[in-house]
Order: sequence, then structure tokens, then C-alpha cells
Amino acid sequence: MFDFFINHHVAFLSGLKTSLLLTASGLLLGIVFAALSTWAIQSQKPWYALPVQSINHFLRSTPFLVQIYLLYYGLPQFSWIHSGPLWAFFESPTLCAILALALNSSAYTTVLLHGAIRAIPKGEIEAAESLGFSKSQLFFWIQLKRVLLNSWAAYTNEIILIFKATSIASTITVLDLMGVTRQLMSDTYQTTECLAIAGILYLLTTYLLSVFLFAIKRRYITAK
Amino acid sequence: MSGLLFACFTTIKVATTALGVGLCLGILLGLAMHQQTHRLWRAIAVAISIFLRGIPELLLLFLLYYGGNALLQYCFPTASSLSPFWAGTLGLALIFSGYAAQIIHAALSAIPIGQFESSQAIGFNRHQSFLYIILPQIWQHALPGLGNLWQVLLKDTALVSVLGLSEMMQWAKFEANITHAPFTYFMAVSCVYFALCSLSQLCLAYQERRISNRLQAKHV
Repeated sequence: MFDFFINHHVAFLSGLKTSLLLTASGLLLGIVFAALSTWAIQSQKPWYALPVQSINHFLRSTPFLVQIYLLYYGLPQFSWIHSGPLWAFFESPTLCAILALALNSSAYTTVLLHGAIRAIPKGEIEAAESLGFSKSQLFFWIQLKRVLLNSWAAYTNEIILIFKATSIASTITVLDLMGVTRQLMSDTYQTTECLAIAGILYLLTTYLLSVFLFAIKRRYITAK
Repeated sequence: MSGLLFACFTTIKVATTALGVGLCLGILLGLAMHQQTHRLWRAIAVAISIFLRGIPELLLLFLLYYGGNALLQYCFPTASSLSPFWAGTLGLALIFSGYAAQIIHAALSAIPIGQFESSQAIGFNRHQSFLYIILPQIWQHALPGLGNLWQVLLKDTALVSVLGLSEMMQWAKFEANITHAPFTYFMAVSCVYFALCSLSQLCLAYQERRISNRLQAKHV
């Protein structure tokens, strides 16, 4: 098994790199979406909040596999996408995977952010107001900081879950770690070795990721 | 349309079978993680739980389907191979049990040791006191967590289509190839999942309310 890894380590490591890149870009875009939808829900205007909430509910109660299939295989059904300007985006499996990951993660992150905002003690905001903080100062120095501190612990789970979900991108021909593994499986017929190596790499990465995230939590969050 | 109904039935069959098997495995793992006397068992259970939570669902399904079949062929050359249904169901059950073990472990910690001692004092043996005294109380603490896990499990059943089992996703892929209308069919599947998830959410919310009412009544 070790020889097999040495022989194909370039493929495995490039797959791992793609997986990590998918995770990072999906999460970053997901945070942007989540911030926007949290803002829409918090605005308490029903014509913003209602559609956003129903989309989030839909994203949270359908499988990620269906969502990624809908984006990559489903959307080309419409001619305005297939022959429109958006096709440059939707013909790329990697970009579709990133968008699907971002949408999926934003639906869950919105719930976290919403909970974190509600957990801010009301007195803290009133105290800041009475000290003469302006609206933007209040947002950046009190609310945003509180939200980040409150939601980080739960968000680490989301990071690990999204990293594991990137393996599903292999079903739409993205060559992430799982995609590379499936390709090597059909090329070399050494299925068990391929899967075992991929398993070890995934386990190692999730373990290192969780250790790293836990260290961040202890260094910056618990200390506060 | 009848194809979707039939495929939906297969999905529900996979999900419920995986729930049953996964719950049994999860309780066993959780008990092993909780016990204090046999350190070795505890270490093994913790390692299994970490393994099951650390690798992607898709990989575990492939590992069981291809690796499991290879192992089966190696050990029993005459045995018939593992079907996609059982490989998928077993994989989902294992993932469920990895997370469920943590929840059961936490629920067991929430139960005072006096419950066990007093049930033994009035003459229950170990198995009886676990089955009749401890287990019903675990249920109260573990239900919200297990409910979330059930929703995750229900959504993960879509992954079994990758092994070639003809459940909803596989049906949609097949129909989409014929009709060249993939969006319609995948949207239909996601609507069914949406309905299933919303339904189970409602049932779980009802159960949780009932349990919290009962807990409040007990404490007053």
C-alpha cells in the first residue's frame, strides 16, 4: 500500500489540494452569502426575509448531492443558461461545486449567525449606545465581535462538515481527492489500496484541521 | 410518477433500516465509550467513533462496497457479493452510529448514578435495570440530537445512488437521460426530500415537546 502511495503521490496530493481549495473557497463565499441572508432576515422586512428564509429552509432539507446535480446537470436544461452569458460559469464543474458548497454552507451558517446575534445581551448594546458609540462603531466593535466569538465554536463543525462534503464534488467530475481516487481505482484496479489511502488522507486532514481549529478556539475565544 | 413513488419507497427502506442498525450500533458504542472498568474497550470505541466521523460518507460507502466485497471474496470465495442496498445501508448505519455514540455517551453522563444503584437495590439485575430504568431516560436526553442525526441520515440516502441502487436519485438520473429534462427530475426528487425532512421535523418537534412537558411535570 505504501508503494502504491509513493507511485501515485502526485495525483493524491493534487487531489487533496483541490479538496482544500474547494473547502476554502466554498466557505468564504458561504460566509458572504450567510452575512447577506442574516442581514435580510434581521431587517424584518417580509419581502426580504421570507424568500431568504424559505430558500435556506429548502437548502437545509435537501441532500447536498441533489443540490450539486441541480446546478451542474440540471441548469443546462434551460436554453437561456445553456446559450447565455452565464454558461461560462456553469460549464465548469469546479465553479459549480464551489457555488453548491457555498449555498449549502450559507444555509447552515445563517442559523449559527442568527443564534449568535440573539445571544448578545441587550444591556451590552444599550451600554454602548449610552457611551456614545455611533451605529457603525456599535456594529463593528460590539456586535460583530460578539457574533464572531459566539459562533466560532459551532462554525468549526461546519468547516469539517464542508471539507467532508467536498468529496461529493467528485460525482460531477471534479478531480478532488475522492475524484482522483475513483480515477485511480478504474485505472489500476487496486480498489482497496486506493480507498484505504484516500481514507487515511481524509482522516489525517480532518484530524489536523480539528486540532488547528481547537487551538484557535483556545487561544482567541476561550481566553476572552 | 409511479417510478418516483417506488424509488421513494426504496429510499425510505434504506433510511429506516440504517436507522435501526445504526441505533443499535450507536448504543453499543456509546455504552463502551461510557464504561470505566475496561479501558481497552473504551479506547476501541473512541477510535471507531473518530474514524467514522472523520472520513467522508461517500468514501465509507465505496470502502464497504468495493473493500467489503473484496474481503468477502477473499474469506468466503463461494459467498455471494454484498448488494448495493446492504453496502449502502450498512455504510449509512455506521456513520449514524459514529455520531450517535457521542450523543448516547453524553446522555448516559446526564443520568445520575443513583438511578442505577436504586434499581439494583430493589432487585433488578444489570440487564433489567439498563433496559427498563436507564434506557428510557437516555431516550429523553438523546432525542433532540438523534433527531438531527436522523435528518442527516435521510439526506445521506441520496449518496447510495452512487453505488447503483435504484432509489430516487438513480431514478431521476435515468429519467433525465431519456427526457433531456434533468432539472425537472432532480427538482422533483428534492421536493420529495423536502417533504420527508419537513414531515420528520414536525414529528420530532411534537415528540420533543411531549418529553419536555413530561420532564417539567416531574420536576415540579
